[in-house]
Amino acid sequence: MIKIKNKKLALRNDLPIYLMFAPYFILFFLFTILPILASVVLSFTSYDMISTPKFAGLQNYFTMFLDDKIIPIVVKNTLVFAIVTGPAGFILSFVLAWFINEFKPIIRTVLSFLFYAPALVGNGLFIWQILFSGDSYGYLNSFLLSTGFITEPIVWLSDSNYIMKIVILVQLWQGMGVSFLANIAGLQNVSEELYEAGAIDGIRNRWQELWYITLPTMANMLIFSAVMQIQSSFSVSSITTALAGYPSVEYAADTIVSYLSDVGTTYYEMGYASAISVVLFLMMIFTRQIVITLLNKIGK
Amino acid sequence: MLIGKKSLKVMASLLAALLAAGSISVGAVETQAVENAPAVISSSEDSYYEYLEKNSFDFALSDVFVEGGNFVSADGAERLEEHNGKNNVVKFAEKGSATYKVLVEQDGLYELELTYFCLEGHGLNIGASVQIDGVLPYEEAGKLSFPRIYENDASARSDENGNQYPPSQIESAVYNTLRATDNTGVETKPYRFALSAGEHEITLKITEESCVVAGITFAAPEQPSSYEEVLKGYESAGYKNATSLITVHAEDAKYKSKNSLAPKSTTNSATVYPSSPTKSLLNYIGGKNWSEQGDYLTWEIDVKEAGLYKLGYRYNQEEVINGVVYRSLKIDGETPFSEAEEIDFAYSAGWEFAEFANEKGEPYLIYLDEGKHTLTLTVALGEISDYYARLKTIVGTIGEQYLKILMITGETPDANRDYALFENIPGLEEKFSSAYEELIKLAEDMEQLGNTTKYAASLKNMARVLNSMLKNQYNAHRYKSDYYDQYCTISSLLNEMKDMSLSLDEIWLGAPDGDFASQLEKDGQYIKSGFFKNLMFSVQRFVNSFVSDYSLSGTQGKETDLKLWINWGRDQAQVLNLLIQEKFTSKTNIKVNVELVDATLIQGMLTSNAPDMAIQIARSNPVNYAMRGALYDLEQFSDFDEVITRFQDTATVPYQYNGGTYALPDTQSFYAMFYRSDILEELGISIPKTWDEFIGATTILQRNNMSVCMPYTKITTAGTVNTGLGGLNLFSTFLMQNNVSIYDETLTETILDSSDSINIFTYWSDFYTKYKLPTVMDFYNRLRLGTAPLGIANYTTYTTLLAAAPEIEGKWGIAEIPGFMDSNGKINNNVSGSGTGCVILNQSKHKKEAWEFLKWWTSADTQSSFSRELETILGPTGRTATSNVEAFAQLSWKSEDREILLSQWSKTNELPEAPGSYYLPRSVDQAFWSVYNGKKNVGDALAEWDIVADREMDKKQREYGLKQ
Repeated sequence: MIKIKNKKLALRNDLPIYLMFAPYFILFFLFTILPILASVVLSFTSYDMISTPKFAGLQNYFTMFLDDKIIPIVVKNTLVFAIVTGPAGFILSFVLAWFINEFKPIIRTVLSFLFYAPALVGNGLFIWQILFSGDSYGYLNSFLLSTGFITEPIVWLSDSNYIMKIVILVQLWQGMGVSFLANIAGLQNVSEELYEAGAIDGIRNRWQELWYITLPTMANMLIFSAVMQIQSSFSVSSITTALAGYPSVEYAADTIVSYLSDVGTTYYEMGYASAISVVLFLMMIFTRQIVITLLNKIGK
Repeated sequence: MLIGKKSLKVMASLLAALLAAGSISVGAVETQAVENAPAVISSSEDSYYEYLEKNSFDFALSDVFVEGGNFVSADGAERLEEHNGKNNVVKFAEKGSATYKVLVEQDGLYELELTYFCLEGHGLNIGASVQIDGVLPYEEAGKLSFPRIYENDASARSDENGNQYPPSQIESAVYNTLRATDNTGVETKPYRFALSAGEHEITLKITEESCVVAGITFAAPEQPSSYEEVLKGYESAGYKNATSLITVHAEDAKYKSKNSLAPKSTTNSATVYPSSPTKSLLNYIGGKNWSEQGDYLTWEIDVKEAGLYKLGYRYNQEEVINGVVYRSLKIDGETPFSEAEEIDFAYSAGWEFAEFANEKGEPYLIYLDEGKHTLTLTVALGEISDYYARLKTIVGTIGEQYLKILMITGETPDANRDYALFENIPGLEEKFSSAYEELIKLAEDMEQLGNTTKYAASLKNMARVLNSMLKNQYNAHRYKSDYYDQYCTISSLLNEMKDMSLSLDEIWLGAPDGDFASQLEKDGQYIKSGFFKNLMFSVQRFVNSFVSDYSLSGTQGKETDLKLWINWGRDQAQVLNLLIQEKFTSKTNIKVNVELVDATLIQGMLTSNAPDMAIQIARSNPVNYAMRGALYDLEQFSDFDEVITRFQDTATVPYQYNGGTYALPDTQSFYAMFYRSDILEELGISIPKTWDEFIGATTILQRNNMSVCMPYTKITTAGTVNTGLGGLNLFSTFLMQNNVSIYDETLTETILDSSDSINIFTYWSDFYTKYKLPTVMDFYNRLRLGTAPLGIANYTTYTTLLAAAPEIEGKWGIAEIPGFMDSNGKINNNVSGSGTGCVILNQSKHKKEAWEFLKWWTSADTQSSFSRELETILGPTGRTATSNVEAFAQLSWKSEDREILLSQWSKTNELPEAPGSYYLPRSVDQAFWSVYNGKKNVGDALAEWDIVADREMDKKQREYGLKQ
């Protein structure tokens, strides 16, 4: 009896917390958890968005792993993306933040703004489209032609040799913003006293300072920025489609996300698209786990 | 193409370029604007100016008049005893002509004045040419243009919420008297004809449209006296100052020279009369539509008290920033005094009041006697016209020289080579130095005008480049790209300079004694609304933005029989909505609720909220939806066979599936060939009829460092796929011209890898690989510039060229696309098309009514009204690519071009769509790029991608039970 009373009491005590939590939870459940569950369910069906879904068992997964010629290409692309832009973007944004943090506040503010700007200009991509434009009037072609490196314009965004490289470059340029800001904020939170104490305890150089003090202190920021980076590098699609179109030539820059939206909207195979998204979801969770384990090793 | 070794080099320089990316991004915007305009203008032999120089007569002092019916001979013209209140007139059919004998009493320069009545036609202005004694006096006399006159349709349009919509503009059934003038802006005064004393034979030919002419006058040029003299005249006549105020609402203009000069509404300001923060009321006229020389508006005013009036107006001139626009004033068709020929309207950020007054602020007075008068304001160029004419000549020279330089150096000259430009191009040095001097002089003159410094800076830049080239003759080719950029800038100035946009809200004729402000106040009006009124207005607008019903028809919430979804801009949707209310609902009693949505039909069907029908659905979607059972088979309706006779024969083919037809075509477009007649002529190229000839022309042009356009649309989105293969490139057209099919007979498989197909693909891709034609090309601009004087493009390019490239008028043409010669020596130049369709959804409970709607929507009457009304709002580029053959013919095409377009269109042969066939355009695209990038040969590429397309088709056919 007492136990039940305690439970009731606890519920009553916590009620305000539950109430305050409710609006967010309801929205989160409706627009995030439910769609995830729905796509897990749909991934076992054949569904063309007009007729009712038909149960198809593991057929979609069989198709994906055994039959689809395009899946390997887009998975490879996504992994290349994630491996290059994920860690590279993450390290680059941290190093940049570290450097910029050394400047005086005013210069720091200006520089932070400059480096964050690409993330703000959502459609700033068009600059790159002009730069890599395929006719002889595109900036890069025009420059290379006039300096004599090439003799005829290169259709940069339609040549599978270049597409991926260009898209990675643009993704790095644009994707750095958020984790860069998080890192700057983290660096500024590191207390000066720790450095003094460290100096007394025998820290000899900036590297040791970085490894034993700065990084461990801002571990949470690092995890945040790493998760953001993973999420963004796995779900790259708008940049590739904006630059290279969908499908890009020989699918050279297409990612899982752009492929699955194609499967859903052009082929009208919602079941199959859901199956792909479930796999992508699992891939992201797995990577996140690895990254967090790695980050926990910092300073140890 | 370069691969391998070189690519390292390329990537290195790529990095270098990236470092510069920041600075480049700033330049990007400018370059885009600059790309816009250049055009080569060559001077003709017998221009109007040369004519005037040769014939230096004085102005004639009296008019010579001949009645329309008094011709001595005629061809395609007939005499009418009586027409619309005029006697003894002549009715011209298109291309008709009549010859008159006129007796001129005195040597002199005369202006040609026609009293004409436009007959119903294609909505084009009347084109005319005049010969004197059997010869065309000068080139321009062959291309005279007389505008149609429009007025508001009597029925005002408003909805239940009190919102007003512009009335339709209909042609006025009146005779118009106008003098022939130049509409290109070089010459502001009417054209003059030198006639010596004696009898002359005058031949008037109507080259465009048909009309009735009541009289032809060789009129003495108007020489209005100065205001000073007129004022003296007022005094000697004893005219008194008026004491009353006459208010004219500008939006009530009676006659307009263009159908786009419809009343407009703005809710941006409390000053405009009438204004409402919550409703859209028609309250002004003009804006961008009232900007071209010769556009005029005429108001009727009723004067109750004879006397001298001063003139004031409330206007908005925010288009020409820091510039001035001009209007000329005519009262009852006469210029009252010379100062009225150029009334200037200074830049204003909002609605401003101004008075027609001299520099000291003394108002000019105009005498009006009691009764009805007309007041006409015509767009004039003022002093800009002189600058325009001078700049046009300079741009012409610079453009010609550019092409000559290009022919020697190519698009990207080698910096280290000496091309000896000044030796190889005869007269280059003289031309450059005279152009240089003229540019500097023009810049100085324009700077004195004060507010045109931005023009002057560009001119000086061009001059600087010319000067550098003159000074460094051996390295002159290094300035080529700078030359090109500056040339683009100054030629785009040509168009900018002529923009004379002006909006008018009110015109007042007031008593000379006492200022306008107090006169208006007495009448309950104001010059500008006060601070608190503005504040209230803004607050109301803001509040209203939360509660206002933005749905289109105002019938929201009522029982509507049909629901239609569209995702266009609001203007277009509004036009459609008004048309439906006026011409569909009123006749059939079927209500249609037009909903502006940003959702796909699929989303609608998923939520069972789908509309009853949808229009302008992308090419491949009707079959996509139909195979999933979402659409209704239109062949079920008994009059289906009758309805499809409106379209080209194969127009419904892409919408057929499994024995049914699931959509009616509502737009359809196809390719046509465009060329620059002046350049082709100079190089001795005749218009190619076959692809082999086309290749011949290509090589000649390439030898002269010019290029040719073959359309290629890279597939970038699902949207491009939905266009269908026919609209993306010429491959399917090539197949069709060789009678090779892309599918097997049962539409279950593609046969891309057949030997015929491989040969044709090779022939086609050779254009890009062997002849190195660019896959990305801004053809419209390069045709204007002359660097790509020949090309295949969607026929709608025609409208753009007609509307936006006046400087190459008469120097370009269209033709049917080339074809392949078959064994009988006949040329097959079929073309594959693209377009959209309109559908009825299976979920609809009102299929009969929806079918009525589709029939109405695709009818010639609706399609042509819709297209015309869009042109009213958006200008000529708003014209839709209608699928209705009759409607197409009714639109304003030039007559000879209409024949060409109709002939090419009738040869359109549509590709069928099949389940999964959306993969076909992609496969062709992918195969093309592997060939283009040198990765695979044609056979391998086609074989590989043929399989991919077939798999998709196979999968879909199994899924939907077409195949076991």
